[in-house]
Amino acid sequence: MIHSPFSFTSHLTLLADTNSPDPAHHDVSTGTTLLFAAILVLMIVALAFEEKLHAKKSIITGVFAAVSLLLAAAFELLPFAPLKHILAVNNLPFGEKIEMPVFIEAIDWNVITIIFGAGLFVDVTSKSGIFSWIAIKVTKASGGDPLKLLIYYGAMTVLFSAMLNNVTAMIIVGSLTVVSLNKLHRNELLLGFLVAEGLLTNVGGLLTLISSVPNIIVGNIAGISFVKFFLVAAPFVVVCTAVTLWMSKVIFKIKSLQSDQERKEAAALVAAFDENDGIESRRFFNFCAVIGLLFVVALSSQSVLPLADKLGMGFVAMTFAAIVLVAFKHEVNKFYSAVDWDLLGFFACLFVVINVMEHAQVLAALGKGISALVAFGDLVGPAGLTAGSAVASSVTDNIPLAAMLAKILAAESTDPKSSLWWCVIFGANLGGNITPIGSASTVVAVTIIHKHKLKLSFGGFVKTAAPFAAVQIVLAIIYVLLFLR
Amino acid sequence: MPDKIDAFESIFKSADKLSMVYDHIDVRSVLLVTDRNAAVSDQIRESAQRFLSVIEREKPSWETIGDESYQTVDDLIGLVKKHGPDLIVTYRHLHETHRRPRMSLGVFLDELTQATTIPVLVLPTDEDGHLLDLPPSTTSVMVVTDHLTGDNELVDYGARFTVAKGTLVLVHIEDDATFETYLAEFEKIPDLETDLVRNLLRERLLKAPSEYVQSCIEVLRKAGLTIRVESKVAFGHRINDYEQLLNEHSVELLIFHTREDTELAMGGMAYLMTARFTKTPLLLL
Repeated sequence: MIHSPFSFTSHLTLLADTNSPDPAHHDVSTGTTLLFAAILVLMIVALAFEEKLHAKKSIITGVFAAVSLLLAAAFELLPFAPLKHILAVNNLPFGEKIEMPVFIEAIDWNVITIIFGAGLFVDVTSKSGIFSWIAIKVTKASGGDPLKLLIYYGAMTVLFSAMLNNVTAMIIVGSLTVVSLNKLHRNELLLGFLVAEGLLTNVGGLLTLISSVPNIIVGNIAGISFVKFFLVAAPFVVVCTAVTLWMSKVIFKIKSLQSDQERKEAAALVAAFDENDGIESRRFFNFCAVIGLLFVVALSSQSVLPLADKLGMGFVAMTFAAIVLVAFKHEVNKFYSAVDWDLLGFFACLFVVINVMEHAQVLAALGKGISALVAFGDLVGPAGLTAGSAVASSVTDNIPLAAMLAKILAAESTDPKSSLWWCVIFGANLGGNITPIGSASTVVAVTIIHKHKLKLSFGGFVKTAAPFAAVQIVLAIIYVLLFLR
Repeated sequence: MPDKIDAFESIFKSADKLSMVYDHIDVRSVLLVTDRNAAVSDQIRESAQRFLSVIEREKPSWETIGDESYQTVDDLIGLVKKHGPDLIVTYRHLHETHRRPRMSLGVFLDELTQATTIPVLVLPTDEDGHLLDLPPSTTSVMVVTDHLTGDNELVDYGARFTVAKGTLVLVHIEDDATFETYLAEFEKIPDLETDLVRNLLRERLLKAPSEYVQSCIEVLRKAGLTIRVESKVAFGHRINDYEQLLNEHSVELLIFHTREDTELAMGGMAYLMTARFTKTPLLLL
């Protein structure tokens, strides 16, 4: 199968793109490209001011998708060819005519199904109490010692971010931190703990291909497998986590308990937590523990599993979601209503906008800028791309940024083994640590901080988090330059 | 998102079990307050000592304030403060020979409970205010409250005043009428599924005290106490249920708090109980 340099990875879209005129060869005037570039910039700005606009992401991108599509249709930029000739080429038995709206073809359904399936799977399995069980076990293992708690919670944040998603990880660990520090009468440490955990969610989000949306998007476009992603990212995540925890200990002045009496009292306090309290059915708990492991195994081996390798990771995620939903077959509606439809709508509309930008040659123009950056050489190019991605994703959503940069790299026929993909991945994830609006999980951390009446302004967060983010980004650049070139 | 944060905080708060922490109650000195002469006071003391055989093993000192020792409430409070006992033993309507309002402890005892935080053992009296014979010992002790969870002091006193191999009954009654009042308001909120709220709330209100009772049983056993612990954790009408349990368990000593943190002593429920259960020895904390 021929991959168009601008194509999404969905099978249907690939079919469409191979038969539609190459967008790179559209005759698009500079004025038109600038007009669409302005629309893209406006959308990114609107997303950055999502809170001020009191509008959800899906609504913002939905409006821009509609405007972009209308303008693109007016400028005759879109490939409106029906699919019948494509299917005829593929010898469809009855030669039937299938028409697909152009904006449906633009959506990367593999990404959508991974997010939908994995989200549902995590929602259902969390009902078993397995994540709170792990969290309380970890708390008890710390014996209530603040420094041990920081290290254990930090490691747990990273692992939960990798297994679930950054937002869910922050909610679970952040909530437990509030309750356990309150129990230990250590509320003065709460701010430091929550900031450290918020920062670590974005480090943990680097661990696997499905840990964060930028990973899914970039990994899919670059063709990086689950196992390959893990093997490359894991060493960096370990080092970055250790450094972040050490900095947290120093900056937030978190110390171990000094006397035996203090240790004894703290241990007694955390011992009062009952990890089994949230488990309503031991059978379902065990089932979720097993199916959770199988889920990770299936995702990691999907690329070599017969049939699943053709059906994709989205199929694996959706299938596992369906399996666990069987346990709640009479009440699936409550899980459907808990699905983050705003996020899914946001992605769908975002893919539409980016597709239009491709046809309007906006991505090609940006690609020239990236090419110029990369042309600075093997050292400055990757370093600049990592730092640039990080700074850009600190002030706006890292998802459109990752999607756009990945598409530009694909358009430049970037080698799947190139370190540039990793520059985008590291930059897009770690950039979220610079500002409180840089990533969804830092927004959660700040929400918990404000919920508990702790004072932390936008500037206060930047001042506190900037040293961490700077060190993490420098570490990422060093890692890319030393090991991934 | 805030609702998810709240949901997980609730999960972890629920997992935080309030476990009993046992403290042995020392009773080294007892002050008997009567309004009788020395001879009668001695008889009362001997009877009380038999009844309190469970604390007699530690040989506490007994002192008596009799009829000649005080004339006014201030006199009595001054004497009590001077002695500073660990336990006061007395009875209702001290120095009230002509007028005995049934629904009261009498001026002296009422003022005493307000002025001190020393536990007071109120000896049983009949309708005419005459002292009743005390049971031979405290083999069946009951502590009652509507917030048992975490009330270590109440359980400590219950355990301290139950003789070896005796029975300690821990009672937590949630008031049905109050619950229904709140529920009637919940029913008017369209966003809430009333049956779900009712069931969840009932379950939650009883869960914590039930778990606390289990921890009491375990902690008291580990402390080496050879008493049997029974419990009643339920919804109901407090006074009626307490009375029924007093009869069911042939309770010889009833223990309860006389005050909430922010209240004067002998507030609503404590006042009702002292007025209603006159024939049972009461330990007022």
